[in-house]
Amino acid sequence: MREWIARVLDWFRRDQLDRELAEELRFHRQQLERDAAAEGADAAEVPFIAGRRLGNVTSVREAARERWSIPSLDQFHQDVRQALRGFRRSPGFTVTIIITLGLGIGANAAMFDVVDRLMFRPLAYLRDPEAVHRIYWRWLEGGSVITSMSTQYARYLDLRKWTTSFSQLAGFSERDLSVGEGEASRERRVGVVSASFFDFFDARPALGRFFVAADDVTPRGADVAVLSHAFWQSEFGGRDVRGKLLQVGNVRATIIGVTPDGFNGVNDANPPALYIPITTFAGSTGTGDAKTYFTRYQWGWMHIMVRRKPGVMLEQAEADASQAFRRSWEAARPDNPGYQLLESAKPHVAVSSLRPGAGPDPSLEARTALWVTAVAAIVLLVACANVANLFLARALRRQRESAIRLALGVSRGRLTMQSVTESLLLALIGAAAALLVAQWAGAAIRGMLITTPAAPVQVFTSWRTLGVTVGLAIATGVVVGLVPSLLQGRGDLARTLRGGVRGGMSEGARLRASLLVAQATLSVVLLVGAALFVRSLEAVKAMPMGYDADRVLLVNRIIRGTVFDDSAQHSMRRLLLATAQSLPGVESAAWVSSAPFVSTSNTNLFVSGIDSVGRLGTFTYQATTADYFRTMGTRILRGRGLMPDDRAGAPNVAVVSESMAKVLWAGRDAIGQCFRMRSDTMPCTTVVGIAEDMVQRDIGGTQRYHYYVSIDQYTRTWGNGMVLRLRGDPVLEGENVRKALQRVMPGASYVTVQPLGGIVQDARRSWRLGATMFVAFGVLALVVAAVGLYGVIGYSVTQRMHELGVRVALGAQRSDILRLVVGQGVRLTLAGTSLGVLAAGFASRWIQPLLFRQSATDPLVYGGVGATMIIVSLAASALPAFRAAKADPNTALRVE
Amino acid sequence: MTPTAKRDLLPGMLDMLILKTLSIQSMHGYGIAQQLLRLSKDVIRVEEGSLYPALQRMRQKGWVKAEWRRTPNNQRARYYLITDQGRRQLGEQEDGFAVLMAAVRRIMRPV
Repeated sequence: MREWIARVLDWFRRDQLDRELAEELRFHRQQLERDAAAEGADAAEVPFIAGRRLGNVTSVREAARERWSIPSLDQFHQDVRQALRGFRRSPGFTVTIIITLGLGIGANAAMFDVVDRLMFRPLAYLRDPEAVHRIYWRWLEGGSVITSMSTQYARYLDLRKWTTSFSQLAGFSERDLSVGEGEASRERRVGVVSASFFDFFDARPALGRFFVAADDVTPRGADVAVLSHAFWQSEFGGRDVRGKLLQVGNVRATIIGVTPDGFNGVNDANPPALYIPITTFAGSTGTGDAKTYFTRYQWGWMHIMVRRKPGVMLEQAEADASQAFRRSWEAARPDNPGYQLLESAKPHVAVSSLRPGAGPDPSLEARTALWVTAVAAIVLLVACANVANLFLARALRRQRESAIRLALGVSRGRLTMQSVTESLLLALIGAAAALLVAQWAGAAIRGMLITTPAAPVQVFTSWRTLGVTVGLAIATGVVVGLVPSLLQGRGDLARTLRGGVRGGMSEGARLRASLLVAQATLSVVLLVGAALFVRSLEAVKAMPMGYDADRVLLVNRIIRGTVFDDSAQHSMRRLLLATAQSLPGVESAAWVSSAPFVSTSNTNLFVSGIDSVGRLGTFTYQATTADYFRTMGTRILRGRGLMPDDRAGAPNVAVVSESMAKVLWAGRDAIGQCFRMRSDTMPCTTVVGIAEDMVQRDIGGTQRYHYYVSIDQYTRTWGNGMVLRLRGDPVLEGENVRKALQRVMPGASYVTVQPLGGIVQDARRSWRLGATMFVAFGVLALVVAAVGLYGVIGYSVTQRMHELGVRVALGAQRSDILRLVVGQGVRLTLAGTSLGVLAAGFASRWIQPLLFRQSATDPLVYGGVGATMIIVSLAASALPAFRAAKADPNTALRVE
Repeated sequence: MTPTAKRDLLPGMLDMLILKTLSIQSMHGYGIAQQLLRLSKDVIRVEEGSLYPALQRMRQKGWVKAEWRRTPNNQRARYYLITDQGRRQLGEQEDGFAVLMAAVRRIMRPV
């Protein structure tokens, strides 16, 4: 082994070793000459005597040189040099291939990076990641399976009590809380975790300690905090902060420790800045939940992670957790009268990936990312086909040269090695280009996929991504390099030599034609996908949202350091609303309890004559003030909206959405009907108006059950913020509004503002991502395929110039020649297009769930793509065809 | 038997002889050849065609190191030095050689 390392090292300095050996031998000769002279030999004789004694110097050198030559390495070195010379000779060919491969491999590297982060990459410091899972709760509702990661703290306790399969359990949640005091306070992501959370990781605190069981107790845990390493560095400069006090939400916490560098908990896309015990957070929320969260099943807000005991299979663990869930389901019924019976709800548990992207119900982003990865793979295939085609064309041009070399005794294996070395080199240079593409595209893709400010993309330092890129490059290089040698390996040598360039073309032509058909097929699949996604995105954009988000600003108020009672809340609300309404830039304003895509509120509903309203679906409500409908631009279809007179003490009223009116009071007039909120003993809430349906959370959803109540009449919520309709652009005006409102906020409390338009845009991002990616990749594939077609037709025209000349001599017209050549290109494209349409039709059932109100088998889309392909193929073969039409019969005949 | 007649060395023996020579003193290739010739009373004449490849092989195996030095006559020459690994190798070879020679002697003993 050691000897081989020495040999390889010697190989790299073989020139130096050669020189040293020569000098050594010269010295030896000098000594021999001296000896000869000393023995009294004639001066003229000396060199000959020494030479005789020294023997054959060349053979000495050869024998010694064998020690530092490694034949395969020498050959490889030679191949590399020859390939590099070849690249310099045909820069156009080389650059085309590097760019094609760079784009193909780069697209895949970028997507691997994204998917890996979403789904697979092991979390830093996590011990024995195979045994660690997240709990997913699943049950049937209205015939479909609901999957939820969120649950109640009481259920977490049930799971701990009633299961035996897990050696560790931890509850956790992430909240955006205000951290710090006064002007310096900022919203930060706070990990709210049980003391057992840190035991899942092999992490030692960089400073101090993590939480212990005594910090994490019901009803309220200790007021302590652990900082993340990054937060510790940026906010405290890495000083010893143990014992310092830090305001975290409603908690004045003592800092007890710091996580090690690179520790991201279970969320490395958007890691928490600091951690507080889960019971500390839950016990300090200031709402009724703070006293009941660990005994009642009303507040579902946290996730659970578990570690399987050694030897417990996943299925056993799921069965165990499922029986605990069923017991817990029964235990929760008194708190949730809407819960269905065990038999119909069939609650069960999936013990699955800690990363939700790889869990049983991946987000639309994760699913879209997987699709885009498949698309990227197709682009790479098209690129490979194209590069293989270019190599093939060149191999055919060099066929005579290869035949001569074979005839001279070069082995076929050697020729294959040469061609693979060449393509490998190109692929590796392509991989370097690919990393640049991936770095740039990866940032763009993640920007579209993940809205939260995430860690920057660094493909150059991610070993997994680097490995995949280089692996892809090597695989591509080998495949592409082997194709032409398949051709060289066959065929009759003598015939090739005799026939010259014109001989032995047919098999290469067949292979090239099938590569072209494959390219066309794949391009059609991508273009169909692109067209479907674009139409789907158009449908999403055209869908009525039930509000006009463009000039709406969302104001969130965060109360700090002051405890408000009911009346203080009311006056605070009125003050902020009045302040907002007085601003010149504000057209109208309303106080709200929830906002589209940000939060939802729901509670149990009771309607006489309906057994269980909950079984019909989810009914969300908005507790708001009179100007809401005007502010949001939501139309009242019948009846009236909310009025300033709908205040506490007046009869309770509500406006319901059109869908809700239809489902609850089918065939009757909803106006004047009564429903009860929270429990069936509450007073009647009377429907006074019907509003158009609006999208509260799920753009693709079909249920639009939403209702509006007066915030003064529904005192359970104080409201969380306001919606403002501005006269100008909310992005520009927003800051002025924020400043004006901040002036009236008491103490350390503050407001944040967010344009609603941006939030709605984000909600559409997976459709936009799908459309952008498919279009980008589809057009890329089409261009690559068109260049390929052009190249092949052009090449075949050059080959057939003689034949075409003969045809002209025999009386063929220009139009006949044109038809002949263009027909060849169009025929290939038509074959590919038909195959592509079949393939796309086959894939449609998987792509359908990603589309929005767009059939995946839309004939218009397929027809359009087919037409595009034919036009492109006409254009690509027209140029060579015109050249062919100029075929000169004289030249052709003179050759014979 | 003429003293200069070519004697075939057993495989591996050249290595052992070179190592033995170097274990006494670091030397250049010429010196090694001269030393072997002198100590064997002109019986063992190592050809340069065997000596230098053998030295390179042993260098790659890590038994000897090579260094350019000045000779007493102030000429530049490549000196070979035995390494610790080379000494271990020499010990092993010497033991093996002793066993072999004893065995050969027993066979060759006059009956």
